Amino acid sequence: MGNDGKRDLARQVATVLGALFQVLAGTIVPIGAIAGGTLSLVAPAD
Amino acid sequence: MLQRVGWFFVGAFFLSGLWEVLVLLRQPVVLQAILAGIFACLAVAYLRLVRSEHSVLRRADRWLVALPLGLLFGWITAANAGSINDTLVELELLGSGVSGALVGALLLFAGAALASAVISVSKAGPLQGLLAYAGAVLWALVGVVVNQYNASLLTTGAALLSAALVAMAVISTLRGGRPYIGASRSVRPRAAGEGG
Repeated sequence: MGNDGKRDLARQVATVLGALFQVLAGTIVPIGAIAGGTLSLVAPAD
Repeated sequence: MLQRVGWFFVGAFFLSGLWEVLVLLRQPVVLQAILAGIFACLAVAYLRLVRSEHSVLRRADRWLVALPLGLLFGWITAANAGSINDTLVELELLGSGVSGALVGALLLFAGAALASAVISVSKAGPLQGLLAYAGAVLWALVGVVVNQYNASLLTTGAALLSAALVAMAVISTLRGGRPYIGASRSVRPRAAGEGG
């Protein structure tokens, strides 16, 4: 596998890990309580 | 296409996850900086997408890359505009009275102006990205109207005017020159509809 192939594989792995982190971060944080306890219009999705 | 925008997606994903976790800390400056970082990642990705040669955009790129990228970028555009106001209030640099509402209204207008500029630039890119972006911004502004309808007439009015500005930008862009839809529609006849 050439350098381009390795970079592309790294990008794919990083994309999957980043997407999983974004989705799973919501499960470890009590988002419902945060959203209910803040006056901010910008809060993580429940 | 993903090689051009993929790393910026990665940055946006990680920062979004980080933002969700760090919301617990209630550190407005840190949270605002993260939102700005997400915006920067998605802005670069979106600009690289719309400036891509049409010939490299396949159907999958238009539906599976441009559409979600536009949606996410639209959300973060609106989120930044709303969050800056919240940050200023939490830092007690801004009151929650009329002056706060005025600044909030100005930030909404600034966000709408930025969104209109993005929509104008999107003319060169795929239609899916443009419509997803505009839809997300409009949806966020509707959310502001619903949230603030009973609380602030000024904020509600500013959100409605901002939504009108964004809608006009979409109409103007679509009428001024058809965005790229697909390979068979990528060339707009220059003489069509023009006098002479």
